[in-house]
Amino acid sequence: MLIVRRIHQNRTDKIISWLFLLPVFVVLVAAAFIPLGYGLGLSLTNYTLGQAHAQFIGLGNYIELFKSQLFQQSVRNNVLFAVMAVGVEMIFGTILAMIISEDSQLNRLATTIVLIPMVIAPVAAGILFRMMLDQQYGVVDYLLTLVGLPRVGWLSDYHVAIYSIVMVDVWEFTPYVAILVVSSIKAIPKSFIEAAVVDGASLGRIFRRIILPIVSPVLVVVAMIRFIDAFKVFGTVYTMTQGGPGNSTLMLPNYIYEEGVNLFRVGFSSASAFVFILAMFLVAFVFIRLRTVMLRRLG
Amino acid sequence: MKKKLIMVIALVSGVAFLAFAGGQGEKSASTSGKKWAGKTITALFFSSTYADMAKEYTKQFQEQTGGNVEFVTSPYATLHEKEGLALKSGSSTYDIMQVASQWDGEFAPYVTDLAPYIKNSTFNASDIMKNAWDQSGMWNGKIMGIPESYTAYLMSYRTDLLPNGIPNTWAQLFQEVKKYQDPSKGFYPFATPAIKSQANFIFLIPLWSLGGRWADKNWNVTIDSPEALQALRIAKQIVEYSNPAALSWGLPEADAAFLGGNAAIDLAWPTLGVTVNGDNPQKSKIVGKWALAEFPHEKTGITELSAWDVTIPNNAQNKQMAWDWIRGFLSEKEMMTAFKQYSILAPRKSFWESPELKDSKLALQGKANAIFWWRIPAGTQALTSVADALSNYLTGQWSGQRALQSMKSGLVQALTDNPPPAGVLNLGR
Repeated sequence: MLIVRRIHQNRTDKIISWLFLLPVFVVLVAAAFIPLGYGLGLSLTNYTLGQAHAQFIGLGNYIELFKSQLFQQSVRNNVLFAVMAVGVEMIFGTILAMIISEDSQLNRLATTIVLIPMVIAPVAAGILFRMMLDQQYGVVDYLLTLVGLPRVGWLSDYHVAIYSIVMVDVWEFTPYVAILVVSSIKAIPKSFIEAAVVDGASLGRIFRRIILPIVSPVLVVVAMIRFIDAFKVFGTVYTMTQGGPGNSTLMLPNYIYEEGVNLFRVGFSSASAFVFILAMFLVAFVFIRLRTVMLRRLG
Repeated sequence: MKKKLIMVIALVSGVAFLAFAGGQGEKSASTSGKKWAGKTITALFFSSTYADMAKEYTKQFQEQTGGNVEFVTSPYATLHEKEGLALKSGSSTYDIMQVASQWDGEFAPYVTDLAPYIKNSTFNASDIMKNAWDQSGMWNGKIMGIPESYTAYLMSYRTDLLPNGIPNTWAQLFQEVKKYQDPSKGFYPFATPAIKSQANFIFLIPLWSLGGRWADKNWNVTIDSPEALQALRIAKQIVEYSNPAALSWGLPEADAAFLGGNAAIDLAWPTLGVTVNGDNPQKSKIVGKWALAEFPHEKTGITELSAWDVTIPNNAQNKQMAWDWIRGFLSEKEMMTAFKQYSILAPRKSFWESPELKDSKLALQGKANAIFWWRIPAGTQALTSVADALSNYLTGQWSGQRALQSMKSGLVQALTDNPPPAGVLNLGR
């Protein structure tokens, strides 16, 4: 009898908890899946803003997209940018986290200071660096000439421009990585480190054998967030180079924006956006698998 | 303590209320009884001297009619998308829109026909030049906007360095100015806005002056011509004789270089910078040492045209008030004020015949042979493909032939995606 009552109560609890979840589920469907479905539908048409009737063209937009040289170049640029920017941010961010992880008044002040770039809007950072990196009037080139170095075409040389954007991204988001990693470092029991020191382990060895394995699941999540964010870079590129010189800094979001907002090719830009979303899902999936493997290894 | 705090809050609230109520009272007293008292409309303008002039006139409009105009301004780079999104999505946000004439064909279906408004008012439309109507405001028989300005693309040059002016060919010009290339002093022959979105003109003007075109009158694409290849080479030479930063420069940077005394020739639109600031000692180091000139004439002397018209969107909320503002803003008197204060060139016959213009450095504008590229709906897409190929060529990533092939396929695609309306011929290039 008691067992029957418990089963009944469990079922009631389940129904109630599902009822509590229902509003969230409805909001999620309304906010995420309906626009996604609508976008998918648009991507199968030749709809241009202002056009009276859209025509169903099947996979026509997707075929055009994959044939487009601009799309291919923007994907190449985006991958190069994301790999370089996130790679450097992860290394610098971890080093910075190690430095500021010790609890002292000086470190608390340093943490506040290093957070400043992170709170600046990418568009503002882009404008700021566009002025600072101007080959003729920028302060960076001025400082180079003071020490006898030649001026660099940070934004006007197509070999260099993408690295300038990477540099701005690193400046802006390294603190973000550091802040997320530092909490993970602080959670490591002090006794682990103390035992290693007593055993005569060097700093490098402590980092490799104790700190890195423990923080690596966090690093993977941070890398995933930053990687997806780096793929969405827009404001910095728009304000610094407009995708130029040539198409050397054209990124996928800028390409989608150009097609959708400047040329009003809604169907085509929806197809581009959909490919972008799928690619991001794939990236997230790879990182989540990687994290699962790491956690399993850690036991 | 608590009592004191309450008293302070009450006092501050009272003062704020009185100030607010007083302000409102003053406003309503001065505007009541006027035609548009208490009404506000919204205008979208290019953030430049055009918007400054419009805001200036609005003070007068407010005094006369009691109505107010709120301005939303946007840089040229984002104006097309802002206007296009508002018009094509049927938004009623804007009552007035300043439209660049190259977008006329694209936006014509979404703006009000102004012919009945002109007919029922005292607005002197017959004073507007035929050329201006042909290239701006009038589209396929519909008066979609009132022409506001009509400016040929000229160059500004240093009279102390080039006392004989600008020669007739680009080859002669390069020969003449190459001695001024001095990177050690940061001095270059040209100050050029060659960032991707603004570099087109250094290809288009040489192309047209050499007799080349994008397409013939029936829209058959002809851009893969020897003239186009030569124009590309000229564009590259301009960049080579410019500050190496030019590929990332827009108009402000180019103007700053010229006004700062670091270039012999400025290739940025003069009316947006040099003619306004060139003789202002606080902003210019070349006061009294500059003049305007046409680009090298080559075969045709054709240059690029900038023309703007002011329109009323189909879904504007107060069309009559918008029209009242437009007819006052673009009247003969206000256009002359715009010229004196902001160097804006009116598309009116009486303006071009006035002594004020004849005595001005800008009188040369009247002689220039200026045209557009395309005013059809495909215009923006076509220009984007030309800009893209040009930028790749200028950076050395593409050969001239590859750039021309890319331009050709881009133009063909633009015409396929947005075919010109039946019967519309290519009157541009």
